[in-house]
Parts: sequence; structure tokens; C-alpha cells
Amino acid sequence: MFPPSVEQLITELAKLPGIGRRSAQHIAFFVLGQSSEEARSLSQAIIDVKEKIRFCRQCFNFSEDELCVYCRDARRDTSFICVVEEPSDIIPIEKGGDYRGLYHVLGGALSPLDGIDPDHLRIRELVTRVETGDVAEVILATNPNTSGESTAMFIAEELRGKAKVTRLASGLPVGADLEYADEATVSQAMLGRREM
Amino acid sequence: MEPGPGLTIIFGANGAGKTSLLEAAQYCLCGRSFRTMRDEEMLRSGEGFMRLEARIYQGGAATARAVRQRAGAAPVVDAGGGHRWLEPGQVLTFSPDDLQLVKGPPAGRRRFLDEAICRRRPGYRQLSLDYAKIIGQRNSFLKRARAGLAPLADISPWDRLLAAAALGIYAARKEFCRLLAPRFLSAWTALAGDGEVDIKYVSQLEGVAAAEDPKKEVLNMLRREWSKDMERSSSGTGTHRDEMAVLLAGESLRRFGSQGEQRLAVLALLLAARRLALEEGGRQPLLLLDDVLSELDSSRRRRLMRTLAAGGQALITAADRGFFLEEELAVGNILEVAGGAVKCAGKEHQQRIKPVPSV
Repeated sequence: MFPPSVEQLITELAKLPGIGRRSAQHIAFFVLGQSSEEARSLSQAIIDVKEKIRFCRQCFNFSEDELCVYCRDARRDTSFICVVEEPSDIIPIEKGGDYRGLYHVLGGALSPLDGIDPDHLRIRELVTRVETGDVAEVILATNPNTSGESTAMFIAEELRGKAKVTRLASGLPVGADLEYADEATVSQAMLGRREM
Repeated sequence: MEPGPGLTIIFGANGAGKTSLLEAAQYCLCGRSFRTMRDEEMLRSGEGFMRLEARIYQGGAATARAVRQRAGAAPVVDAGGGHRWLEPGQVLTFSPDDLQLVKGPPAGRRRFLDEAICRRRPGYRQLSLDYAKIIGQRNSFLKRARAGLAPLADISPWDRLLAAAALGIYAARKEFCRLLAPRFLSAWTALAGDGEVDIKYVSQLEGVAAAEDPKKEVLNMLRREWSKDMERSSSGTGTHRDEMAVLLAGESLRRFGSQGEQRLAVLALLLAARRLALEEGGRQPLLLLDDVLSELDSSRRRRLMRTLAAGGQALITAADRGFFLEEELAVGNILEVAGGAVKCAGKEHQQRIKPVPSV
């Protein structure tokens, strides 16, 4: 239908998550309308990200250097490790602004259905980090769903006696009405209540 | 068609489309049909398109909704900005061939319980979905452990999740059965006249739920079965094998009941669930009864009609006016289906429904 090079671009774009063939077409025509410079800058950015980005040696976050921005930052409190499933989970915690410790990215969560066992996650690396470093507390911030919960339980067991292990609280969303909260959330909030 | 707020009787010859009317009502409300799970079977064969429009009145407010569907495509809903399907437990359907609820395997009765509980406790759906996920993950884990890909002891997080979810489900179902049982008995008595019926929730967790630390007990139960579970790569302990026993004079109606008794028990279970919903002040489920009278003897017909006339919205189809007494017809709103059209044959509605602007 289109010249082969356009067709090729559409096919590649349609492989991206959330992009169907129609959106891919739309983007392809947008690119066609751009200047050569702009198009080159886009393709260079894609190549750069693949060539420059690797995993942080310590926490397995994305990084351009041996150590990621958090592990490199001397102002961070190294006695805290916050364990997350994916690098993208770090962003909301950073935005929250209350956490000044380090991270540990597991690279997923336990899911036997998908063939993901503890060995597929960076749990051993975490245990080594805790054993060799001066860690006061490990905060488990895996997702509050079945996979994330089982991962948290597994890690808590592995770290027993090695460091204080806490789990991110789950409960009522801030600024919301109790009246509209669903039952599972309220029951979690009730279990996780704190003294005032 | 405009069904009344109470009982609506739909007459029509065989093949006139009575069942289709009930099906259309359920499809508009729940997004599914009691007759088929396949979207393509919703269209009359040979037709390329259908459209259903409904006005739904609840809590004093009316909303308009249209469902349209092209052959070979999924249905599309026009609701003027967001809609929610009713929980399956909000529309109770019964056709005389469908004795599965009493006669069939326990899974159907667990589904009945779960759907009814979802109506009462919106959070229960998540629990039930989580439970299914946990079982799936645990079974996959067992398979991997059997293949030597993972040490069996690593199952422990799944056991802990399973124990917590199973205890939640057990408590909810047990409580629901406790509430349903007396209403089941009175619905049965109203329909059958005599006979001592009961329902009993039968669970592996029965013995341990009252223990001091029930979660620990369930964990122990699971642990005892680890190697057996691994051998068959499936979880033998939990609420996914539980049963709601339906009993007549202490005997299982599933095993010993006659067709007639089983049919009546299904009907009584639906009426009991509806009764409970009404008493709890929730939305009362809509009852759709397809051609149920033809299978009942005349004394039971009278009794069923008395129960239905006592209140609540119900749509009932029948091929023949002879099934009804004059005074029974006087209570209901009467519609007739013939030649692909519905007409109001009886008196006007006791309560004229206010029209709403269409979408």
C-alpha cells in the first residue's frame, strides 16, 4: 500500500506497547513531515539509549555508569534499601520525596505461571548486599498484588535475622473518602492502622 | 416492552420469542446471556445486526443504555458516558431444564454463592479473583518443583497467601449459607407445602476456622499435603473444593432428589437469595423465569404465583393462559409476543414509568 520504507517504519512502530497499526501510521506520517534533523535526533536517541544504558552494578537500576544516580549520590542514606520490582517503580517513590535511602531493583516478581522463580530475580544479590553492607532496614515495595505479596514474603524469609524488614503499607488513598473505598482496601487499612 | 415494577407475565406460542425477551433483559443489564456464552449466538441466524435499548431504573434514577452488535463482532454499549454491568447475582434466571444448580457438580453451587456474596460485598470479587490466581500460581509452582526447577520449600509464600484468602472466602460463604438456609426453607415451604430442606456449607476448613490461630492451622494442612500436591501438580487443600450441600430431610437432593424436587429446590434457592437481598435493603435482584409453570403441578403453580405476587420485579414466560387463574392474571402486567412484536394485552401498568430522554 505504502512505499516499502514507509511500510517498514509502520511495522516497527506497531511493535511498541500500546501502539496499534493505525497509531503507527499516524506517527509514521508525522515523522515523514519532520525535518531530517528532527528524524535523525529521534533515531539517535533510540540508539543511544540502547548503547549507553546498562544496569547499576549495585542496585540494578538503569544507569549510564557503573553506579546509578542514587548509588553514586553521597547524600543518600546507605543504611536503607527499598526493594522494587522494576526501575519505573523508583520514580513515584522519588516523587514522594520522603525516602533518602538506596534502592534494589528485582527485575520482576515471583510468578511460577510465567516460569519466574526466585533465581530469576535479583534476590541473591540483595541478600549479599545486606550481608556485606551496613544495612539497618530493608523496605519491601513490591506491588500489593498476589505476585508482589508472595515476592515480599519470600524476601522477608530470606532476610530473617539479617536486617529489619518492613513492608510498604497499603490502605486508604490520601485525600479520598472512606465511603467510596472498596472493602479489600478498607480491611487492609484496618489491619495496618497505627496508634496516634 | 414495558415490564411493570412487580410481576410481568409474557405469553406467546412456542417459538414466538419469549425466551429472547428474557435474554435481552439480562444482556442489557449484565452483558451476558443465560443461554449462551458466545456473542455470535446472540443474533438471529442470518441477521447481520441487532440493537437493544433499555431504560434502567434504580435508586430513583433512570439511565438509558443501548447494546448494539454486528455479526462477527463483539457487542458495543452506548450508555452516554460510562456504564456498569450489574453483578451476575443481581439478575437471577431459571429455565426448567436447568437443574444444574442442584443436580450438577459443586462448582456451580460455589459460583452461585460467590455471585450472591459479590452482590452483598463488592470487595469479595477481588478476593475471589485473587484466590483463583493464587491457586494457579501455586499449581504452576508444584509442577516446576516436580520437574526439579524449584525447591519445594519455596512454596511457602504461596501457602501463606492461599491460607489468608481461603479463610476469607470460607468465612464469607459460611455466613451467607447461614443467612440463606432459613429463607431457603421458607421459600421451599411456600412452593412445596411440606418437607424439611436445608443447606450446609461443607468445607475442608470447617474444623480449623474456629481454632485459635486458624491461619497457622491451614498452613499446617497445606504442608502435610506438599508431596501429594507436588505429585499431581495441583492443590488439594483450600476452598476451591468446597460444596454447598442442598438437603431434603437430611438427604442430598443432588444424589437422591427427583427431577421435580431438584427443580423446586433451584427455584427456592433463587427466591431465597432474592428474599435475602430484599431484607438486607440492597437492590433486589430481578427474577427471570422461563417457562417454569409447564413443569409444575397445579398446586405448586398456585404457590409459585402467590410467592411472585408478594413483591419484587419478576418476568415470567408461559405458552398458555391455562396455567393461570384469573386472579393471578389480575396481579401481573401482561404482555403478549406474537409475530416478532410485543403488545400489552392486559390492563395498564399500576405505575406508569416516566420516560427518560434516549441516548
